[in-house]
Amino acid sequence: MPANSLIINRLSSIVIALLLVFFANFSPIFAQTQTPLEKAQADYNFQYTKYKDSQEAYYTSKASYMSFKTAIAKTDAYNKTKAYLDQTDQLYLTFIALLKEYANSINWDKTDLQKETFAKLSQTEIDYITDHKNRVANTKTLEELPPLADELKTHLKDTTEPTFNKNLAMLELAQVEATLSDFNSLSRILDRIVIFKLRAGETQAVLSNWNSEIASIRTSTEKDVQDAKTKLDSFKDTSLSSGQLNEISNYTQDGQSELKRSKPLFEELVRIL
Amino acid sequence: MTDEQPQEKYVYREPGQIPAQTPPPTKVLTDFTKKFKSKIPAISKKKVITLAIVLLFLLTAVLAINLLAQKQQDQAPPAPRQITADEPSPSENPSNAEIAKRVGELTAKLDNMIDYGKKVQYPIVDLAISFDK
Repeated sequence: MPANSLIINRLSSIVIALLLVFFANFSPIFAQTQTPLEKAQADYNFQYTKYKDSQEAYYTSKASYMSFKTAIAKTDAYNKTKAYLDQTDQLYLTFIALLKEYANSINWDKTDLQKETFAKLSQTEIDYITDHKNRVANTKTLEELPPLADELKTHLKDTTEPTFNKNLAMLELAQVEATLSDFNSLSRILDRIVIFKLRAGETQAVLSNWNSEIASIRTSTEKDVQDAKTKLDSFKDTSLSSGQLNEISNYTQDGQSELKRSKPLFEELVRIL
Repeated sequence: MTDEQPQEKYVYREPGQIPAQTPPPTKVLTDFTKKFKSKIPAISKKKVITLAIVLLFLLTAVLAINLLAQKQQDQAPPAPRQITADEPSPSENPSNAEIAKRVGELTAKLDNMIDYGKKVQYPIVDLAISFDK
């Protein structure tokens, strides 16, 4: 009996060890399935929720302090306001990280735009917001916080938002240019195949219309891309207003729509080949 | 002569010292462990072995999946195609299967094109912080 219980004890220890190793390995499988862009989006959504919570806490503490004006209410208002400003800074930092992941999902080698320009604009904002966050952390009194809030508000309106507009314009243009490059590469290969088939006597309508349709899409999209580039270059600053961003977006969105017209053509041609 | 009551021997203790009557902590722990073990139902050797084998199998499967996922992540992405001005490479003569694959990739890119103006919403925050009436 004692020998049996010794064996059971040892087997139980092995089972427990296996369980621990099993659970230690299990969670990484799920962690690996999220792309960096999805993770950045999830992070941003999470920080936005935290921002709303801290905003609510700030409003409540402010109302309490304005009503009672006690030292305890003031301390609470200071802590909640400080946390609110800190969370606001964190929200913008997470937003910049999200924009960077969007940029990482584009193949910049296929565009004339420089990813470094995009990165430089983002870094300037990261530096400012990080510095602001540190200054908020170093405050000691409630009175120090409203000027820091005003400063951030002005910076966001005059610098950050226009910089983001420039970044968004670059993303839109880089995306269309990179996709147009892939479109041109593939359509030229298929052009030769279609010409060969037509010379061989094949008469399907899609073959006859292929060249003219693809040429039309290529011409329209290249014009949209060129117009967007010209417009972007004309705004020499490192920032854009909302109106200027919309002007560029009009061209890039037209280019997107033109490229998407080619999808049924490609699919039909693959069926014939 | 008065009878003297027998007196208990006085033992001086420092403040906080455990009184002599309290059992030492190790005995308390041992008693607790014995009580706890007596409540665990007896498990047969066969069941323990079966459980160990099942867990070993699951662990092997998890490790294999992890290794596979790691291998896929470690594979370097293909180098970006260098597109020259107008002419495609003369050596490009892909098979129908390759063409179908490239068409699939392009149509997926077309489907996934993002309207950044709508998709990426710039956060709007309230920074009107004031404690003046």
